Order: sequence, then C-alpha cells, then structure tokens
Amino acid sequence: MAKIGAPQSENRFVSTIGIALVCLVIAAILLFLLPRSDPRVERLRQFSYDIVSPVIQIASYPFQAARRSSMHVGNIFELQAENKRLADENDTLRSQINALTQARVLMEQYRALLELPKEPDLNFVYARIVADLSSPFARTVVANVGRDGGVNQGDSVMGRNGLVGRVISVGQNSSRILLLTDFNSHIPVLAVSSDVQAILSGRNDAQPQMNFVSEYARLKDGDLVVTSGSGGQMPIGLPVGTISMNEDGKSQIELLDQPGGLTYVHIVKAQIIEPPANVIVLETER
Amino acid sequence: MSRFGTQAQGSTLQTVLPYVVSVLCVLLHSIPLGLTSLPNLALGLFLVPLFSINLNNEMDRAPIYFVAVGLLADVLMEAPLGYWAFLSGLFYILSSGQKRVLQNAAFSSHWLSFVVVVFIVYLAGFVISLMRDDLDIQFGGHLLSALITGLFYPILAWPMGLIISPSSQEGL
Repeated sequence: MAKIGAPQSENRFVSTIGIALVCLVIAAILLFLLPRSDPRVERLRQFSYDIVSPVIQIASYPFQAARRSSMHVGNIFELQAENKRLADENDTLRSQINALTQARVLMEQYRALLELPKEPDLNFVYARIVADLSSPFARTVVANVGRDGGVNQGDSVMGRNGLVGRVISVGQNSSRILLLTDFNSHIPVLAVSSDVQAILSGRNDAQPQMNFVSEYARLKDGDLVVTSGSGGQMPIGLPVGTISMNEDGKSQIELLDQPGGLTYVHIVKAQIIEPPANVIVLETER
Repeated sequence: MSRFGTQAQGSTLQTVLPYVVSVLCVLLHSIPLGLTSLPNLALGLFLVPLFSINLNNEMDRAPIYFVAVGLLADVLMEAPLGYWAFLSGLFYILSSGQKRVLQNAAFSSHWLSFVVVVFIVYLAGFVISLMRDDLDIQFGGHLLSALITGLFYPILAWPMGLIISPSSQEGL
C-alpha cells in the first residue's frame, strides 16, 4: 500500500528541483554575461571585503599565532647560522655605505648640472595583510588600510625587499591588492644593466614573465629589474626581481619578495602627473 | 547502523549550525596562512555543510540558500560572479538525487556519495573554465582540490553530526 504522504513529497522534490534549475539558470546568466572586471562587481567585492575583513582578521589570530610559534621553533634551531649570515650581511652593507653616499652626492651634482627636475620623494603607508584571496581564479590579498588611511587605486605595494603588486580597489578600511603573479597583472619594468624596457606579466605561478621585449634586446641572467615608471602610475626604480632565463630562452623574473607569505606591506602612494594646464592647439597648414 | 543526517526537526542550534558553518567555511578560505602552494587549490569546504543541509532539511528554499552561499564564495574567493553559484546549484541537484538512497545509510556511504558528487561538480567547474578566456585553471590542481575537499568531509561532517544528532553516531 502506498504511503499517503508520498505524492506530496514527490511534489516537493519536483518543486525544489524546479527552484534549483531557475537558480542555476540565473547563475549561468551571471557567469557568462557579466564580465569579470565589471565595475559593479568590483564595487560589490570591495564592499564585501570592507565588511568581512575585521571578521577575517579576528578569525586569523589562532592561525597567525600557530604560524608564529612554528617560526619561533624553527628560528631557535637556525639561530647560529642566521646570526652568522646577518653578521656577514652587516659587513657587506657597511662597506657599501661609503660608495652609496659618494654616488648620491655625484648624482645630485649631475642633476644640478643638467638641470633635471627632482624626482618626488616616495610616501609610504604601512598595512597588514588580513586576507589572502589567492586561488586559481586570482592572486589577490586584502590589506587593512583603505581610503581613510590615504590609499588610492593604482598605488604600488612593496614587501620587505621589493614590489609585490598594486592596489586595484579601495574601500573605507581595506584595499585589494593584485599581486604581480596574477594572470591579469601587467606592469612596465626596466632591466637595469641591459637598459631594456618590457612589460612584466603574471602567469598565475611564482615567476612572472617579461613580455614585449625588443627583438634586439639582450637580457642578462641575474640582471636586476625595477619599475620603469612608464605611464606615470608607478614611481621609477622600485626593485622587482632578477632575470632568470629558462630553457626556451624566455626571460622569467625571480621576485625579490614571494607574495605567498606576506604579513606586512608598505603601500607607495602614486604620483599623479597633472595634465598640462594650457592645451596648445597646433595651427593647421594654411 | 548509522542514521547520520536523518534527524527530525531539532532545536534552533541544530537547524542553524550547518548554515553558519557553510558561511564560516567561505570566510576560512580568505585567512592568510602563508602557504605558497595553496593558490593553485580552490577548496569548496562549504560544500560539506551544504551536503548536510540537503540531507537533513525539507526546506523548499534550500536551493536559493545554496546559490546564495555560492555567490558569497564568488565574491570572497575572487571567482567570476556566478561560478560557485552555478556549481552550488548543480551540487544541490546532484545531492538531492542521493537523498533517498542515503536515508538510512552508514557514514562511509555518505562520504563516498559526497566525494562522487564533488568530483562531478569540480569537473563541471573545469569545463566552465575552458569556456572562459579569463580563467586559467590547471586540471591536475583542480582535481586535487576536489580530492582534498572530499577528504575534509569527515573532519567537518562528523563533529557537525554529533551536535545535530548525537544519538545517530554509533555506527561510525
């Protein structure tokens, strides 16, 4: 004998599956018709991070504490070797101070002789990474300083040793940082000793690649790569990494700071280049 | 035999817990752990409590909640809007099909069923990534994510089951 409630539960099953199918269609429409970089989506993401970043910050305390503890244990075992390494590094740095001071004085003199405009001083804002949103879809992190802290969209972000990314959206109390390793990251760079300009593009792995390199350019293995300042968004000369040539002859970059383990960053405020005040209209040929 | 996931209407905590855990799982993904190998993984840990919700609740609006959690995951995991929402909806439909089979089944059957459904959902996710130019998902990493998500099932579902229906755990 059939149960009395069976047809009702059948109907319920059909109705919930119907609702699920409608939801599925709506999700598919969002997925395939809404571009990923849509400003409304970006605003929604930033708004959400502004709300959830304090929650994530609190939730991450136990993980941070465990991480710090494991690092402390590791440090105790490596203390002697670390001490020796730091002493050597200190000696090297001391020997470089005189050379750097001399170079700085000379540069100032040359600048004055050539009447070159002075590069503006860099302004930093220090921030803590509160959320790591890195996934196969994107390589981004969230810092706990936003518009209230003076951060603007487009500001460069440095780790301890070098550039790690740039700010792509800013909220009231948080900012999203697109890492150099992201698929959508493209920044203008300069290989210092070979004087070659290129675009550094992320590939969703640890080593971004240099693109748009002139066919006549000769890049050197181990050459230091810095920001070129082209486009005026990023300051010139921020260290990025060193060149390492792969087997195919393509140039990859060993970043000075691996974005994976970032805890603190300093955000370099962008130097906005004002457009010319008076637009000169050229006379056409008479 | 375990009757995991088939309890009647319980207290508010028992009802609300899987919903809260699913949201927490989405938030958990954003915690900076400093592990450089993690970026290649897209763990869908929130699918574990969703599976539990689907087996336990008779709510008509459950699929809406599934898609809503998926949308939250899209926003917080930087996925294209609709990606996890679509996969959560698909997950709902696939796991609804398991509901009757798993009514009096043992915990291991629930786990196996979850793993199978998760693999299908992740494969669908990979197919979606092939259709979009702005997604670069590696097949191996994606399958590893599915496997790890499957392995997390007992870690999350078992304690949750203990709270929801303590008497139903004797068969584990």
